[in-house]
Amino acid sequence: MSMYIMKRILMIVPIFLIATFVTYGMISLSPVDPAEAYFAAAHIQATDQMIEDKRAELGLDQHFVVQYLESLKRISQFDFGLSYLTDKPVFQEITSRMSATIQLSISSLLIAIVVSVPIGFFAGMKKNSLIDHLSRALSFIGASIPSFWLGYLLIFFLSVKFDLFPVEGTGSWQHLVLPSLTLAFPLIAVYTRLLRTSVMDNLKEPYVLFARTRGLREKLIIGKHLFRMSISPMIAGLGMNLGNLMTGAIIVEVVFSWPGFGRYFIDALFNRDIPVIQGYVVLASAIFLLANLLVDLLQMMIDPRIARVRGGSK
Amino acid sequence: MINRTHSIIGITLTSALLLGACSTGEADNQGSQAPDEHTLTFAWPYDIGEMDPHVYVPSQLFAQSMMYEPLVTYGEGGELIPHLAESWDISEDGLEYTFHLRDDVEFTNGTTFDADAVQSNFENILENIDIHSWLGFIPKINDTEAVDEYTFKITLTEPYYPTLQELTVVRPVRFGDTNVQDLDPALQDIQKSVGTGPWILDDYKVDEYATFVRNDNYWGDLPEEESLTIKVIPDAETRVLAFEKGDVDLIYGEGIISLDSFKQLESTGEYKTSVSDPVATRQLVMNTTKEQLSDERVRQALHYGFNKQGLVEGVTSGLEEAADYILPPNMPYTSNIDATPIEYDPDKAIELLEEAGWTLPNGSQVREKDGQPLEFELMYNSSESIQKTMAETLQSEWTALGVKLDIVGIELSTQIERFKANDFDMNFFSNYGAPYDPHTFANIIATEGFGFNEAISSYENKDEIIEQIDTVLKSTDEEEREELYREILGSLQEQAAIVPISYVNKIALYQEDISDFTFSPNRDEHSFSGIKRN
Repeated sequence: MSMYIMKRILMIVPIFLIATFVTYGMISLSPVDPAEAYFAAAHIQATDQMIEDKRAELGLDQHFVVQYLESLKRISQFDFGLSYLTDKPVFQEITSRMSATIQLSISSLLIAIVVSVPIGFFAGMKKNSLIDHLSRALSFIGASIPSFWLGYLLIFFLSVKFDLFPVEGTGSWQHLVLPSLTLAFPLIAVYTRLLRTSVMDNLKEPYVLFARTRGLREKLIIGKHLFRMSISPMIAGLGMNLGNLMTGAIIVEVVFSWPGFGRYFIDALFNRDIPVIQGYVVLASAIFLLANLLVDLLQMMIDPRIARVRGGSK
Repeated sequence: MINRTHSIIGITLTSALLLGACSTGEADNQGSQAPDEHTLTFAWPYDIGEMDPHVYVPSQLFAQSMMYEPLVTYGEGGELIPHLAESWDISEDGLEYTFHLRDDVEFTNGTTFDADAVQSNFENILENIDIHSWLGFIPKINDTEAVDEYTFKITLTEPYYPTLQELTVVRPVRFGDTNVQDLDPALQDIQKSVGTGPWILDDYKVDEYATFVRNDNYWGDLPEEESLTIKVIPDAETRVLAFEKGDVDLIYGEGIISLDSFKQLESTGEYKTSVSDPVATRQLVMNTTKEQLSDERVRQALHYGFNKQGLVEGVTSGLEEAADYILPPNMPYTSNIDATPIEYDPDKAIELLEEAGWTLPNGSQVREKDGQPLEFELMYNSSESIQKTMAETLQSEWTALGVKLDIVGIELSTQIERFKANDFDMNFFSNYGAPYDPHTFANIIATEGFGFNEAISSYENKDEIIEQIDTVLKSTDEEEREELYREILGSLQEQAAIVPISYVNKIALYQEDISDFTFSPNRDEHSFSGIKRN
């Protein structure tokens, strides 16, 4: 098992390097010149000389690989460079917005778990029951509604019409409700479906039959064995979504004027603020990789067979 | 194992809850912006950014204009109105500008505003001349001098008539207390920005809001309201919803909400709305270095060949007005242009195309000449719905003439880049507006590398136009300038490489209890001084 854990941790390094190299490469392929974008953002009609000077100042006249290696060196010292636009340290700018995003992600995750676990579980237990229909409807709607539209709907009905929650901004727990619900909704759809299928599959597994023939109480079989085994795929989904949540809160942050780092990233994209985009890519890759690692470890604890199959050793 | 799992999940959940609780608590302390009777709330898509009159990004012009003031103000129709300078003298040769400053102005930290303050601001600007040299008169400054306590003089290397106009822009030629900022870096803090304007920045949270309070020691007319909060709401639909809920008193600007939303809210009759005079012209630029477009008859045919009125009605719901001239006629030197407005006339368009030798082969939809199809590409900013819809409309209108138009949506920065590199057939452009035009528009036509100079290459009198532009900018004679602009703008338009489409406006939408809202003649600034809540 420890071998497996070591392997998983070591794998992070090459994957991280590949992910950042590819994304850095894609950024550098963009036809938009960051120096031009800088002047466009400043509403300045720049001359060619001004643009050239800016490019030199930003180090954009160097080869892409040199730029990549330089930034790797800096990142290893937690130096993400200065934003082209604001001249402020990117690391500080991102981390100062991080808590708002984390807050939103966690509250969405909690809502998603609290809603989807009971619905998904009972839907799986009782196929074609009312709760099963409800779960399928939820999955269908959740997978189909775009986040921004759901956000507008919630604002329109729960805020403008019924005045239950504020439209946008921060300041109280009420401000957190609508963006969290918006972000949680697609997750609820996924988790409910995952859990439902998993429970249905597990019900057919021999261990349930075996437990029953051993004369274990039904509550114990369901609560201890079935629940534990069925939750595993959902935890995998959770890990994937943790990364998605942190990075994918972008649209929701824009719709609800939530001051997180997703919104900051959107502005950076429009302004071709490359250090910010790179900083974001690095952090997002790190979050994804760590979330996946965490999930793998969690899953392994729940179901040790996984380590044996994947790790090839005890 | 189960216990371990439980404890991990437990720890995660508990820390999540704690984190949530902490963050909420923190936000509470910083205070949400509950509207009160004397605060106006205004929605804006961006954070106000750096509040330093010499910094461009990230900062918002209108916010800077609330705190920092010019020597001269831009009035209706380009009238130059004394502001921090009570009066000025210009030497006969057009080289020396002497400003007589007001003697009753203080910065908001109590420092006196005098010629030394103006001088030190100019020193600051000239030290960073590279980033400010886009503003025409700055590279032409030979010397600045504080003549006495309230007299300040600028000497230029060559005459440049738009100097006064350029002194009305929002940055960089406005005044902060630079001495204080130089002495103590801590005072560069945004909260302590020191200007002379009617508002003081009082509370600010990045990406969330900025609250300005009235500067009660202000030398001019005091704002009616005690404070004004700018809420940062990046999404246009959310701005509309926040307004409908009453969380926002005022929405104002260009393209700040969709025209549909504006029309819909206006139609409810529950809110007040207003539309400004034209601030710029939406133009279609045809690149005459492209062979098919080098023929003036083809360009004229394309201009005759689309229903401008219908286009503007359809795309902007009549909010924008169809434009007859390449610059709005409410700017200096633009009211008497030597050009004939073009009326929609598809028959004439076809006649012109035939005359130019572009004929429709049997069974074909696209005209040809010497085996070449009459085909162009129009690039538009993909994030601007008006440009996109206009491009689609032009495409369908010109198809009827036998002209194939390919439309391609690209990002704004790519659009600018391709325009400057002369890598386009057709492009949308909008001029700079007050207080920059017509001199800035003329200037970019005369300068290589901005797109226009290259685009009008097939104009026979191109060199003459450029020479006239050079003369007009140096001219000290008002009548001569009038005459030259009439010819320059007239000739540019008559040869049809720049086609006026519509006049762009600003819109304002405000709650019933708000009154006396007016638009500033300067496109970039707004002091919100007169506006009040009843």
